[in-house]
Amino acid sequence: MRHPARTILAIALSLLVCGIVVFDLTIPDHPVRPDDASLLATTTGASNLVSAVYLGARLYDTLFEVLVFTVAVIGVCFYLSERPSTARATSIPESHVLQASAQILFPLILLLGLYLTLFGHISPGGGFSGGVVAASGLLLCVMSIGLDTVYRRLTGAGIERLEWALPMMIVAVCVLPMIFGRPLLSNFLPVGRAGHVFGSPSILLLNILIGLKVLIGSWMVLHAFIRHRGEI
Amino acid sequence: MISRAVLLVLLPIIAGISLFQRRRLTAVIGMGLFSLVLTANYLLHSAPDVAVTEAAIGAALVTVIYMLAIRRTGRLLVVADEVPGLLAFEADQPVGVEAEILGGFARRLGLDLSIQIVPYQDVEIVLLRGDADLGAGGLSATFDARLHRSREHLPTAWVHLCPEERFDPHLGDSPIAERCDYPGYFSDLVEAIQRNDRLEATLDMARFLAVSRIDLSGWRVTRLPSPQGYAFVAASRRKHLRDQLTDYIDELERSGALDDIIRRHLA
Amino acid sequence: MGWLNGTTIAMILFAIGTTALIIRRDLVIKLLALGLINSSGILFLISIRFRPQMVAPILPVAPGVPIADPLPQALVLSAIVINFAILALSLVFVMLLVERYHSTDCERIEHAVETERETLGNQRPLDNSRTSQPRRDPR
Repeated sequence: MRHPARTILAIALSLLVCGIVVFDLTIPDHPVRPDDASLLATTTGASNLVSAVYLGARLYDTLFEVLVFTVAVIGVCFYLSERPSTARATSIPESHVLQASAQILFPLILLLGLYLTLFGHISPGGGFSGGVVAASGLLLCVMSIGLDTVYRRLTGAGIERLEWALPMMIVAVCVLPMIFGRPLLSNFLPVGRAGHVFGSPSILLLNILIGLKVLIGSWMVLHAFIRHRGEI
Repeated sequence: MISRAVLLVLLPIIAGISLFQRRRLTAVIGMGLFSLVLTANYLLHSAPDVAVTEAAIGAALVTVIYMLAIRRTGRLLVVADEVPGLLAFEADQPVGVEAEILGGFARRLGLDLSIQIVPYQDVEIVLLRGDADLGAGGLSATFDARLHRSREHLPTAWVHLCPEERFDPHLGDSPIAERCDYPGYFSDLVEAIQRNDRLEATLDMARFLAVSRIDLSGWRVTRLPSPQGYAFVAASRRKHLRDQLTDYIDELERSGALDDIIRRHLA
Repeated sequence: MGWLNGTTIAMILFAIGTTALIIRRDLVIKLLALGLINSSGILFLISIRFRPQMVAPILPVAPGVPIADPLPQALVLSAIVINFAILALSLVFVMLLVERYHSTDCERIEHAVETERETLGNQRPLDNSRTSQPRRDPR
């Protein structure tokens, strides 16, 4: 221990901060009333209450969180693009076990991501989880066949052109209800039966857009890191 | 009920162990394991959405990002303490005798050279831990038997520096004479001497030359014999690297490039 | 054991994270400790509304069974994904710092920055390492 005084001070400070929370903490014990829960589900059409909350009732927060994600991804790509790209960035050793298993696993992982995104309003999941799972599937792909191949195929398919269009589409979906005469940031498409796949089409649409956004954003971060690795 | 309690108690144990590790790699993998246990905790607290998201992000993406940031394949990792003339940084570029030798060697092996500055006494620790491939920076002392020493590229002598009041005439027999080291970074030592802190240190010639530009009127300087010259030290499992480095330095000496480099930097 | 619930464990994790953040000198470990503080906050928010008999907030649920509160879960869901993006950004800055000062030791980097500032006379030291026209990767 190089500085015993500093160590003890650090531990004491952390415990003090926790202690403040403990002494000031009164947890109200009102469980969620079942009438409120079913009311939320029927007005938004989503039986996953968490999705109903952050895509139906509190869409405002989600909009800005998507923007924060976008800005962070732009920052990563900007700062890393100025550094030279390593010539040997893609020389990850190709193991046959990895390649063979990736051929089987990659479609399954993509399918899982798609399921989480599309059915996010009636079972656990949502746009954020689905996008991240699909991005980890892409990472498996990169590890097995190399970064350049995956990059060529993705840019060839035009997936990277979506990166600037998606935040605008999400903002549009949030602003569009004004045209239909409904308040801003509400679900404007007609709500069907709760628990059905097309029970809440606007939440479905938002899940798809957010899932694509998170997938492309995580892909860009991973691509920048692999191509311009650091010196640590 | 009991599984929830067990998983909750497991969390601070894993976090505490993995954050106070010496190696960065162990800490990163420990935090990946922590994410996994945290996912189980979220499930047992009836939050399946959060659990799925945390599982995908904590285990897959965050761990991979950290690994990419601290990866070391394709690089020749050198730990050193700065020595002006042998290995120093000027405007981000390494300059010096050892810097040139290492640069040529890395190019010969097809790797990128990556030099990290650590305190003098940590060089041996880092090499034993396996976190670096080579140690450099004016190393002339004897190291642990598990480390491999390359051939010498420059002879040197040792100088013992101590304040006037602490001078001991029987210095040659005491154990200080057998160890050339000083605590911390070389730049800290220079500052301490400039501030006239009363400390003792045993330095090699290149460092002493750098320090001698300061006014050393209150200090007694004793020259000690050094058993060996400057050499590089390879980590414990890199014997092959040490042999390649020795061959490379032999080549440089045969072609006369070694004397050229030494004359250029230590004229 | 009334004290062994998620809230107290989250506070202990916060304490561990803050202590590691202050004590450890390696920049990467400091980032890991910040991530731990993030996770402790999320665990706190989720477990503060949890009672032992609750069930996941996904209808349909059998009548009479209490549902876990969906509001804190909705708050932290997007926070987890954004933490990842912000962590990537801060790792980029750490990598830039290490590339410039060749050490992950925070005290040594501070020292080097101070020395640079003295020699350069208070100009911002990072300006001369970036080109004036940032060029993007060719696509």
